[in-house]
Amino acid sequence: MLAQVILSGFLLGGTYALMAVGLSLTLGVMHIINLAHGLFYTLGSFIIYTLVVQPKVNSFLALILTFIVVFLVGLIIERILIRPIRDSHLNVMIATFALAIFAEQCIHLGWGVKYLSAPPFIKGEFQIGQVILDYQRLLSFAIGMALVAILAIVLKKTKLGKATRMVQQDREMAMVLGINVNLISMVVFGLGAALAAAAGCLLAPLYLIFPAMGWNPLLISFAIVILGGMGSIGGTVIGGILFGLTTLLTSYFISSGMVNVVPFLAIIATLLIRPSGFFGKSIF
Amino acid sequence: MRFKKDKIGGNMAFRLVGLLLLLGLIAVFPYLFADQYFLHVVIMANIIAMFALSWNLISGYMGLVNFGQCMFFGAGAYLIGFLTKAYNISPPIGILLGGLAAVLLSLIVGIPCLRLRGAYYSIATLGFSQVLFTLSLALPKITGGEEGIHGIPKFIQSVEGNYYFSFLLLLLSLGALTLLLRSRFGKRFISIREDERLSEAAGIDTSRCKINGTAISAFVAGVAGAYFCYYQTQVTPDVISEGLTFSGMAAVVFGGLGTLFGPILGAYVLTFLDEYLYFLMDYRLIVYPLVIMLMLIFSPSGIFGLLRGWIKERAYGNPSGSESNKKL
Repeated sequence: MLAQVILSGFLLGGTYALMAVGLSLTLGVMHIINLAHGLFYTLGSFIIYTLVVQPKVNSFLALILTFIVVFLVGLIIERILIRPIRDSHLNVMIATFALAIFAEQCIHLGWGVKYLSAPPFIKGEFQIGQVILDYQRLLSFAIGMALVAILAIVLKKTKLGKATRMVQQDREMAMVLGINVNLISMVVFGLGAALAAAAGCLLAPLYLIFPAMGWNPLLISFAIVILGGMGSIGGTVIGGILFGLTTLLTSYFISSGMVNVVPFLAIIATLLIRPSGFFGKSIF
Repeated sequence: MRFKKDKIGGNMAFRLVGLLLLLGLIAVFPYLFADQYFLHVVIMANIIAMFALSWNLISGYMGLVNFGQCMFFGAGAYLIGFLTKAYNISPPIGILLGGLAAVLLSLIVGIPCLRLRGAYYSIATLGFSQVLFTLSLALPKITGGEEGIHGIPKFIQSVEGNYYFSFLLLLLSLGALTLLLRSRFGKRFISIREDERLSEAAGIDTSRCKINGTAISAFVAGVAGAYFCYYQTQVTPDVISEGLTFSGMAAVVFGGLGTLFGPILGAYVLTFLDEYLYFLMDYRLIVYPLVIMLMLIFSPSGIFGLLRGWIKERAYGNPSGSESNKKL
C-alpha cells in the first residue's frame, strides 16, 4: 500500500511539475506574478473535455489542439491585459486574479455547475507485485516530462531560447542588443499558459472538472516554484515530485483534510531556511 | 511662493468644512433614510473599508504585498467566537482583544517573513493564511468546521446603533492612520517602500519598522474582524478565505493604492455594486472583475487618483502641459 502511495505521488508530482514550469517561466522571464495560471489549467481541462466528449476527437489530437488554442489565448491576454500594466507587480497580480474570476464565471455560465469527467486517453492497468498502476497516470507523467524536456532543449539550444534567457537575465540589455522583448514576453506568457493547459488536459481524466478547479493547482505550482527556486527547470521538476509525494503521504498518514497544510508548512519552512528556494537564484 | 501658500491654506479650510459636512451627513443620515437594508450595506462597507485601510497600510504604504491579510481579520473574528462560547466578556473589551489577537498573529507570521522580499513575501503570507484556512476546516471541534461558530450575542441590537458604531470604528482607524502616516514614524514606512536598502543606510531600523507596521495593520484588521463577528453573530471560515483578502485588495486598487481616502471610496463603491447588482445574478461576478481590469489598464491610480488629478488640474491649472501632450 505504501509503495502504491509513493509511486502515485511520484507520478502526480510529474504533472504538477509541468504546470509549475509554466509558472516559473512567466515568473522568471517576465518577472510577473500570474494568478491566472490556474485559469489556464481549468481552460485546458474544459477544452479537452468539450473536444473529446462532443465531436469525439482523438485524445492526443485534442491535447495538441488545446495546447495551440490556449497558447493563442495567452498571447492575446499578454498583449491586452498584461503589457499595459507590467511595471507594477501588484497591479498584475490583481488584474490576473480578476481575470481568473471573470473567466471562471464565464465557464460557469457556459458549461454549468456540474462536475464533469473526461474519458481516459488509454484504458487499462497493470500490476507489479502489490502495486496497481493505470496506464493513464503513467502516460500523463510521460507526456508531462516529455514536454518539460522539450522546453528545456528549446531554451538551451534554439535562438528563441537564447533570446528568452537573455531577457530573463537583463531586460534592458536585451533591448539594447536588438531582441524584440515584447515579442519574447508574449511568446513566454503564451507558452506558460499552454503548459498549464497541457497539465489540465493530462489530469482531466483523473480528476473532476469544474469551474473553480484551478485554484488549488495554482497554489501548488507556487509552492513548487518556491521549493525548486524560480527560473530553474530541474529544480522545479524535483520540487514538483517532492510536492506530489508530500501531498499523497500526508493524506495517507495524517488525513485528507490536512492535505493543504503540510505542504504549505514545508514551503514556509523552505523559505525561512533559504529565502530563494533550494535550487534557484533570487529574482525579486 | 505666496501664491502657493494661499492655495494650501484655502485647501485646508476647504477640507475642514468638507469633513464637518460629511460628519453631519453621516450623523443625520439614518433619520433621513430609514431603509434598514441600506444601512446594513453601509455597515458592511465600513467593515470592508477598515479592512482595506489595514491592507493599504502594509501593502500600499510599506510595499509589503500581503496576500494573507484575511488571517488578521479572521484572528479577531475567531477569538470572539471562542471567547463568547467559553466566557462572558464585555464586547468592547472583546473587540480590543480581537485586535490584540491579530497583533499576536502578526508577530508570529511577520518575524519569520522579515527576510523575504517581493513575491516571496506575498507567497509566504498566502501560505500562512492557506494553512489557517485549512485548519479552520480540518479542526471542527475547535472552530466548528465549515459551519463555524453560531449564536454569538449581538453587541448592539438596533441597525442604527451598529451604523454609528461602525462609523466610529472606521473614523478612529482613519484618524489614527492619518496621524501615523504624517508622523516621522509613518514616513519611515514610505521610505521602506521606496528603497529598503537606502532607508537602512539612512539609519532606519527597517526590521523593527516592518514589525511595527504589520502589527498596526493587523490590529485594525483584527478589530474589524471582531466587530464583524459581533455584527453577524457568527464566524465562518469565510473570514479567513482568500475571497476576503481580494475584496480588500480590489477596494484599495479601485480607490487608489497608497492613498488614505481611496480605499474607503473603493470599499463603498464595490460593496454597493455587490449588493445592488443582485438582480444581475450570475452576471454580477462577470461585471465586477471586468470593471477592475479596465480600471487597472486605463486608470492605475484608481478612482481617487483620477479625481485628485482632475481637481488639482482645475485648481492649479496644468503648468506642465501634459494634457496638451495627451491630445497629440
